[in-house]
Amino acid sequence: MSTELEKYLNSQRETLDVESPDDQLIWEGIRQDLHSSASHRGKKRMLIRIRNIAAAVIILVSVGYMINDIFGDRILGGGVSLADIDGELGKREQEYRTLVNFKQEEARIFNHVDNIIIAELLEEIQKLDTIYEQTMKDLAELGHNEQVIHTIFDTYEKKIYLLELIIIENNKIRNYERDESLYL
Amino acid sequence: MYNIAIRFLNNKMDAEDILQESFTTAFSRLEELQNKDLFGSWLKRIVINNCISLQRKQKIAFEEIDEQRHGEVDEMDEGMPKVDPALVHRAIKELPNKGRTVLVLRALEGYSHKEIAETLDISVSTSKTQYSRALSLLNKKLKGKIDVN
Repeated sequence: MSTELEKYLNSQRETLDVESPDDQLIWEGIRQDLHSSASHRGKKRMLIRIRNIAAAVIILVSVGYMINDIFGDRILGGGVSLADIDGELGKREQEYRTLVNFKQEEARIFNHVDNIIIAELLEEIQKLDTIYEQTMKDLAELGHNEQVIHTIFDTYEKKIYLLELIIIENNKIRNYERDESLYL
Repeated sequence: MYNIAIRFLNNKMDAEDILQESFTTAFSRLEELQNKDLFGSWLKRIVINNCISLQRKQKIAFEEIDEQRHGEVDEMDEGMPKVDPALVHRAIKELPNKGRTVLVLRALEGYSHKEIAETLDISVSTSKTQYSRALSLLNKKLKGKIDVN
């Protein structure tokens, strides 16, 4: 069904282009990208090979992580390291991982899995783990990609937040049980 | 090209990044292009594909829609008045992600529903429904902002 609005969009297509980018910034970026690709063409093949090997390693480690995740601990992130892509990113990931481990231990002390809220939070963590696994596959496929890296760290942050909620809920239950025992 | 990207992504920085990436890809793969006259449309394809790829990364999923409401367009545009293109451009950017993508591909880039379905990995019916909804929503937005007789 053709409407006036459709006709308008079709006929006025060109006039709708009303925004303009920061041309200078974009061309500088393109120039740098092309320059680096031209001057490093020789190195590029070598890098591609190294990247392929790294990707294969990441996939293998990811599979290891998934197996560990399925049969082992659901909360703990492990196996794949961003350090393969970039040292600084690896360092940052290690910090997140340490924090996740710490929070996980804290959450595990009184893990009331039969509590409906905690069960839901654990379910959310499982979903995060699935996203993480998928993102690691993306990382293996795409290499250094801002969006993928952002998602990885975002997953860690959300996992830490959920673990904190579990800790709070555990504490609430513990305090309630303690208070109750005082009255008995 | 920038306007195509920003209509897809609704984010200045993302649009600029996509543009830079697309130009770099196009220039570095120029020898693959047989007919150099087609550079513009080739580049446009690259930009669109990169935008859709980024949307996927941003987890904008296109769910299948069963209901067939694609014939339905609100009682709209009994004749389009003179509209400021900037207003229309802004209204398009305000549309929900999924509908906006389909609308841009169909109404502005001339894709058929079949092509949209293949590009976005959705059914033709979903494409039609999303398009119809987006068009209807766009009309409502414009009605609220301009004097439609």
